[in-house]
Amino acid sequence: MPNGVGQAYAFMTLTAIASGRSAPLRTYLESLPVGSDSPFARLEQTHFARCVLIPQLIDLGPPPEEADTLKNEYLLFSADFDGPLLRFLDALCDAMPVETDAIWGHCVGYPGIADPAEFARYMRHNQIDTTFPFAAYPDASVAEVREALQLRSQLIDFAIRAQAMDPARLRETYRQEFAS
Amino acid sequence: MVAQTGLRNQCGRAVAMTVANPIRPGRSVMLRFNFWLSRRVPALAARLRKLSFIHFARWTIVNEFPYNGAPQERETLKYKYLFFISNYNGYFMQYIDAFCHVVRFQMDWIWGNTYFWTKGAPAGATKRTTRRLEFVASHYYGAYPEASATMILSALALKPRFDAFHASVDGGSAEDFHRAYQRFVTDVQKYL
Repeated sequence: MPNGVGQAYAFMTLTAIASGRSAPLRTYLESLPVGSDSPFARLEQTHFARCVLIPQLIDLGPPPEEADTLKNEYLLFSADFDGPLLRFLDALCDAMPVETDAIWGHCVGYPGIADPAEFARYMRHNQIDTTFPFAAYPDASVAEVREALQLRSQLIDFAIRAQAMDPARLRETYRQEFAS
Repeated sequence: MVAQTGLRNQCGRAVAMTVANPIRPGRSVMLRFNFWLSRRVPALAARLRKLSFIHFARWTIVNEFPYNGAPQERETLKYKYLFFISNYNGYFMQYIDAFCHVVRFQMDWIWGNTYFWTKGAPAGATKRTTRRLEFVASHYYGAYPEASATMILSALALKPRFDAFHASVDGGSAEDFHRAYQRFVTDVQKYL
């Protein structure tokens, strides 16, 4: 699977933006809440996601002597999530339907989310397979990462306080804080 | 650690990088072979893991832009493109420095097949070029914005060790627990 690395999936689409719709799409994307309020936060399997507008390819030449010129502007969407792809595409429809329509509704040929199968077909048509994916922690799901981080934070806090505890209090406090 | 980049490219500690280089004519086959080899001889991934601030990254060769019918115009591109998409934490300058110093050979092996790659140039030139090639995200999301990749790797390494410790200390005296706890903390302190 070219897009897979461990249990993670590296997804990327390039979708042509309809003529004259790039500015409102940019305005909409930049107005979306960020962090834990981002609509992508509702997709619990998503590690990272981004929307990038590509109005034109960047040319730093020459060389090359002749640069490419895009005839359309594009929306690049990429996400790293806990696979499989179809579950992620379903989640785009189910967990952030308004935002999904608002984003890709600016793109040519977008069918909407009313028919999830058609939506999935559209996204897969615009998908570019990853050539080489890399993940620092390819086998850890979002939930496992968050759980591990929470435990680490809890243990650091406990270890600091435990320095001043006698054995009996140490054991009692540990039992209270780390009871199964 | 605060990242030095546009705020829209940033989510807590995480920073998005998106760059695209045109591939030199006839080099995409070589590039695909290099990546194919990297999948089977995991030296590149091993070296990338040494760059402990990358969460996820990918290289994607774009042969053509997808066509969705009219009114989209078909693209007639002279070149194929190598997109590099990365999620990292820290400073852009340090990120590029590390790439230049830790995985320079591998980067030349890959980006040497593209235009605009500063092969053999000082890291400063690579930074300036990368900045100019970068597309800034209009929206960027990270699921654990306050965590660096190192923190996550430490946390994931800590979890099974804690589980083993936790399962082993049910019962025994307070002194036994204290000794076991001290051994555990000594064992895992590099992950804390």
